[in-house]
Amino acid sequence: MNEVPALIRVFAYLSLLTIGGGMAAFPELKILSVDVHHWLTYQQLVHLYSVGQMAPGPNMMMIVSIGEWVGGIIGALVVVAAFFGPTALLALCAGRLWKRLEAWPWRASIQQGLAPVSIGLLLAGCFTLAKGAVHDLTTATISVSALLVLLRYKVNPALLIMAGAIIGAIEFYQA
Amino acid sequence: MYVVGMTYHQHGERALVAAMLKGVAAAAVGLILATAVQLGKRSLPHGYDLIFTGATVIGVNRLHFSVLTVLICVGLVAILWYSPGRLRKEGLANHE
Repeated sequence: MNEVPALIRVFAYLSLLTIGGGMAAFPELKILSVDVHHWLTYQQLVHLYSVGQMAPGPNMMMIVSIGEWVGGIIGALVVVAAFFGPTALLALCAGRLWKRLEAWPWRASIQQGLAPVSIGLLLAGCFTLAKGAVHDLTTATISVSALLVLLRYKVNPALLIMAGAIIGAIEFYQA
Repeated sequence: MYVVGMTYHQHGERALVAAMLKGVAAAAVGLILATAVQLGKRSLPHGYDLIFTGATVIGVNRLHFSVLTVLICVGLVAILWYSPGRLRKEGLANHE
């Protein structure tokens, strides 16, 4: 329970980093929750993110589990409020302001400037996840196959996630 | 997700579950990469956008700067690069 203030601090801060999506905050989430506060191991974080892929709702809902592990049901609720509250408020205010600034010349500059940065943050989050998820030929093959299939065909991503789980299980039984 | 997380907490250590999650995590990496590629194709029309994307990745993953620092520094440089004057001069204004 005494970790609740730290949960609020960490997840309210992470909330403001989610430019271009929750994955943008993943590298910082890893540093703060694994390296600084030791709430869980890196492997558990990677697994939780993976579990989040299979559950309905945004991927970053996995933070609920971190909150629950650290502070029980209160921790889970606090984490949801801290992570989604500030960013929702910011989006609301920025949305209104953005409309008013339609004629402002820097508006297009901000849009164009932040686009490559947000994609960079998404990639940085992806590489942070990959460090814990891709460590042998099988996992590398699964990742590359999922990438190529998604770029080539219109496939429900949930099917690829399921395929990953099945391949993992087959490898387990063969070992 | 709350229930799924609790279930993982109780059974995540089982070897079979860990093996399945290993596969899921690897697939998730491919999924996010595909999203980044698709987003990049749509929203990064200029070659030099890749410099800002690369600088962001290097800043976070190689130099281990905080996401906030990288966001502010690279974001600011990118916004200044796309100053209204340059957008007008080069006719780069985005297709909103």
